[in-house]
Amino acid sequence: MPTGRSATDRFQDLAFPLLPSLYNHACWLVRDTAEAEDLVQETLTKGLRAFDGFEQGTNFKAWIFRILRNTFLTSRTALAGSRTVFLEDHPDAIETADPAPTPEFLVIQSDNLAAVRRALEELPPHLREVILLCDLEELRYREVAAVLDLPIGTVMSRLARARQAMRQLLRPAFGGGV
Amino acid sequence: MSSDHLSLESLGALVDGELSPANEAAAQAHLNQCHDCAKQAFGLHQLRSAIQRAALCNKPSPEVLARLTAGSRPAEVPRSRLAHLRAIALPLAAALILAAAALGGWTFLRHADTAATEALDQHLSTLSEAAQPEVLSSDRHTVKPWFEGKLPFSFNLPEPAALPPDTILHGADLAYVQAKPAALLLFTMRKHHVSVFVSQASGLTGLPHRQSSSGFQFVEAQHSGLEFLAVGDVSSGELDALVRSLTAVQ
Repeated sequence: MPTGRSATDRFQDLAFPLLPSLYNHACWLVRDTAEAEDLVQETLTKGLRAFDGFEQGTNFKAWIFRILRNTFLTSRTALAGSRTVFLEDHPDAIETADPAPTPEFLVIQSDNLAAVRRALEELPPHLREVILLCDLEELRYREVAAVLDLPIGTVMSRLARARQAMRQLLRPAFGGGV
Repeated sequence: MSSDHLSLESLGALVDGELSPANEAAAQAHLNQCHDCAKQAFGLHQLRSAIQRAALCNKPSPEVLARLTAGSRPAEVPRSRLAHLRAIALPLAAALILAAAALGGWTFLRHADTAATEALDQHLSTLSEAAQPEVLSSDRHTVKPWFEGKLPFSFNLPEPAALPPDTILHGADLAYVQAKPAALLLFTMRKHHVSVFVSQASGLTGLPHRQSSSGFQFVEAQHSGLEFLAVGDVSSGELDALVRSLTAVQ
């Protein structure tokens, strides 16, 4: 090792600044603050144990978000929902509406952020997570692909559908001129 | 949308900065000519910005942050050579758990059962052929001292003769259950693999003494400030006998 610092210290140096992001993402996954805290805690524990396998020089954020997601997938919340659609794409669900709404309605004021939040809540989970990883966490497509264990092409198409769905969900909130 | 327009995927990739320089230049040239696509790109940019502001809505309180940072400072994490093997074993465990759920057998995972979930997860990990315990020994005089300095507690192991019939200690490892460091003792009982997690009793697991799920039995007991959680696919009576042989020597 290049330094005398322990693996635990090095892990914490990388992980602790990401705690707000991990917690926020966990809240979106489980929709419950107590469960989100448990999920992040378990993610840290697993991440620490697996830190030997982390490839230095690669994106730690993508790595720890992947652990978060895999931990979530084996949680009781995800298992309870696994009989539904979480891992699957359902393109038919959102591609029936006008594919080209005009985007002016997206000049969003701060007091309208609640509507954006509600739209995110209504988004199917598999679309919500891809848009959060890309737009909020600003992961690159290849990193999102690694987190979700998907080909990049699927990430791109899923992201496009997520954005289209957001536009459709937001249209009623921002008037009929869209 | 006409086929002359950029697709939503391409517009998204442009906004996300994911296009190659050549494709980006071509897309920009198209936007200069196409008002509709320029509007779409502008809208995507605004949507991205709005999502960034709207989605960051779950800020951890200082108390939550304090608990999270404190909880990730165990006494010492094993720099186990198994770390990369677990990377293989854990997805296997996850797949098994998901398969069990798909078969409809996953009914016990209720509020207080995260400890059992974690224990089963780690037990399944030990079943992988790639998994090797950190300590490969049936000698209690080897296994017990190995934990010294690694756990914030001590415990005793019974003589081989004091274990239930056809029960052999094969090794041990460090584990974490409910974010607590635990000794993971690996036994076989009539060729069935059994994991026993020994940790400091906290009363937090909320587990009943016995329960079962998906063909696995769980037995929990507390003794002398220690908590014993055994998981395996033997009968609960056999697990109970193993746990009693452990509590008897504390």
